[in-house]
Amino acid sequence: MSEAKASIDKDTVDQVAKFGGEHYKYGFTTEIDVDKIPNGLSEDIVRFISAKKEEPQWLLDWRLDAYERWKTMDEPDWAHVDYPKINYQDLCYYAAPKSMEAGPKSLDEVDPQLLETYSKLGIPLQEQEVLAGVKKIAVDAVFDSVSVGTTFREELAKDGVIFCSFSEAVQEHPELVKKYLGSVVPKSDNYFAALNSAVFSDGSFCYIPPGVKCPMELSTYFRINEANTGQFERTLVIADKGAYVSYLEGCTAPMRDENQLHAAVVELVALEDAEIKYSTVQNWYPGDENGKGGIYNFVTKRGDCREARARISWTQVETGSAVTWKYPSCILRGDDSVGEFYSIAISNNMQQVDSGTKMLHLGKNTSSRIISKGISAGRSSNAYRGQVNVHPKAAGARNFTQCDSLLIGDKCAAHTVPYIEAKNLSAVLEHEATTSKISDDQLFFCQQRGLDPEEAVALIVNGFCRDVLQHLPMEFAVEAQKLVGISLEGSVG
Amino acid sequence: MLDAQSYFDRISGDLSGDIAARASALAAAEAVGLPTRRQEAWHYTDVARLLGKPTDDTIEGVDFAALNPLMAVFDNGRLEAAPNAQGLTVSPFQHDGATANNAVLNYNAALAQDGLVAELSGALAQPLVVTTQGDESVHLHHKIILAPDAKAVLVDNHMSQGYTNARFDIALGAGAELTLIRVQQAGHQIGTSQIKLSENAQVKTIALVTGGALARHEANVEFTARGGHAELHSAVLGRGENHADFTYVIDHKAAETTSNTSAYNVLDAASRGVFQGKVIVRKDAQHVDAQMQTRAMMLSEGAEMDAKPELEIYADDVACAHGSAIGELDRDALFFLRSRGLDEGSARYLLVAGFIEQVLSHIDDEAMADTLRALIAQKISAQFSVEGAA
Repeated sequence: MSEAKASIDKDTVDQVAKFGGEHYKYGFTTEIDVDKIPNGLSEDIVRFISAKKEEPQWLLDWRLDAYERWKTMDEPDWAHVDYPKINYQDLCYYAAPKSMEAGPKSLDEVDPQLLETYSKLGIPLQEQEVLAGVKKIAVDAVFDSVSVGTTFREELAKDGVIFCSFSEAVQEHPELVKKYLGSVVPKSDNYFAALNSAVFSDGSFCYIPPGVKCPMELSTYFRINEANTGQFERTLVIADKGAYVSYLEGCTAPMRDENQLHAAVVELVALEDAEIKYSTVQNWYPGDENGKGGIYNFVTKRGDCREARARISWTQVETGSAVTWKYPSCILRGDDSVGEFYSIAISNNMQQVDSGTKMLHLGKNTSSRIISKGISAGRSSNAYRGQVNVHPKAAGARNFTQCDSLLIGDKCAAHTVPYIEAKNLSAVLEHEATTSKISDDQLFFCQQRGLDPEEAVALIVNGFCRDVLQHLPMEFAVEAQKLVGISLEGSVG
Repeated sequence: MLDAQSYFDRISGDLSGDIAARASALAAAEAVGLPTRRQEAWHYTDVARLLGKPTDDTIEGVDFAALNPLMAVFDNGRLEAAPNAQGLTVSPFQHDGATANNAVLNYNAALAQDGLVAELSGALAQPLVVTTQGDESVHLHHKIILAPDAKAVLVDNHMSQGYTNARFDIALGAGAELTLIRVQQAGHQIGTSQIKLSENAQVKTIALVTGGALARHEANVEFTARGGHAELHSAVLGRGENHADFTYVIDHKAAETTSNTSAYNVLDAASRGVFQGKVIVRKDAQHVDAQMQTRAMMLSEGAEMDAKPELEIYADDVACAHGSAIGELDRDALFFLRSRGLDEGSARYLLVAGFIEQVLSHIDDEAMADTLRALIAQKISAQFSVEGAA
């Protein structure tokens, strides 16, 4: 273990030390024939997307209702971010590789060029290539507006686990989709969720039957490839009574001068005694050092601990995107349910982050824990915005929140905006927040022990993030540590 | 305060200053109206609803007399007699109709009847007590200037049962030191204090709210030069449907400035405590140390505490932190006291008094601290129907 750790530290150091090197290694574009609809948003577009997916009438109606509501809503402006107004009529809402038209039945039939894209990104889509000793990970790969394939479906099906693209779920498991879609994030929840509800094109669907511990990690990998296209995917994860699943999510996009919109919705439902662990490494293209280009990441993520003793844990490493607007939340409805939020948000250059969580305590003896680590460098702005709300009936609610901000350089900004609302006598809520720079004493100490300044900073930053990194699945933790280093490239020394 | 226009027409004959400027301030205020919960700074305080609530809190006379103070009593909005002392210059109230993008201040600009305009220099030996009493709606605009190196203790003694919109503009010259003590026992008050600190100036505010259907205490502290230090401490004893809201913006515009904020709320029955504190550290304001603490003790089902301690930081070499803890009376502590033979009431009394003492202990002048301790003891005893153990 300590050897592994040493190599992780070494990796981070290497990455940080590599100034001026490759900044965003996922910035390539895949040249591929695409089926793309004209720009603009209208009822016809909504109908088109629904028809393309051969959706039942109820889902079309649901989309149209969301669209009607979206038209009456205003884009939120309360977040600590600043970006030019988005022209929603100048976006493309559906783009799919032409080769997917044919409807490949298995991964073997998928266009090799698409598969190559994923292998370049380091995402294994070949089931047989799993190395001995490495845990299996099932992947649903989403490319622009469609899912190109899902691995290990049969093996998962043996345990009754359903893991497929959202479009397939609508066809094959309509009763589950109908029951749970929009039950955590209502279609008119907020501006971006309403937009997503109207035009979502694909995403992942996962159902773990009662009492089943999902035999492998599930994951979704989101890739935006096409220019001037928004990605609007929807993820729905349901853990039935006593089930357990660990879910990973990753995302990247090519380097472009234009800003692209990503407005996703993730809904988690945990029933009695179920546990969902949802981890994200968000590495959308952040734009260049002058803030040109990059993804607008406006995401609504929410988990519902619907029944007693359910448990939902969000872990996120946010390093990409030009603008991030994201608050993975937990509704603690069931008695004794538990919500957790572990976050590292790194902003460099001109990136803007406004992220945090909401913990809504409704059931008795519910508890929640929030650990947020924000690191700002360059000329970026990084805000934690979180809410802990204890309902009058939530006796025995317990929350612990810690949010720390680290500033690297004197041109960046860090903000902390917690809302703490206690309406129950027996609630115990604790909140701590600090903002500081890397202490000169710590740097001096490390250097005095023989580390050079870059190594020292990498060590200190990794230590700062440690509480969160240790909650990531092992495979992700290694990747995340490297990412921490890369994201801070050019900001220290 | 529901029909400001007709109220303005009625009293405008008695108002000083430029009536046209007042009328335009009123128009600006009426255009937006009193703040609503849709405004972020008023998210937890529903002014219209709270103004409609009667206040039944009793007002205890605080025995400031023993401290031989300088008194400025505003009875239903009029200064009875100007205080007079060495180092204190009181000028007649002069209205200025300045309008800003703030309805509360615009109503004040339009309707301010009177206010204490005072300049302090040297070390003022006696505390200056500004008492607001009566049961009418009043708008007051006080302007207090501390000359460089002046030292003073100012008391904002709010004893009105009516609606009060009070504004304090306080400017501290270089090296000046001000202790500002505020007490609100009843009524409806929306108070706004603008406090500006020059180089090495120090301000310490200690606010006690023991009642009132609406007690909104907003303070905007601005450090204009290096070396300033501000302390803002507040204690709330909420009973019935009391609503106490402390909203601070502490703006560190200059380097090497420090601030320390604490809020202690004891909330009984259906009372509600609100704390919103925003620390801003501007670009290049290096070496700022800003600390903020919120504590709340919930004594009853139905009580509510809302805290929003914010940090907005644009400089890197700073030490800023906030902490918040909300919970009920510590059962272990209660058990410990009971095991020592104290009855339930006395044990609770001691724990609550000890909690509030953490605010009172910031008062340097022992005689002043004792005067306020007596008030707090009286209030806690009344609340828990026990004799004070003090």
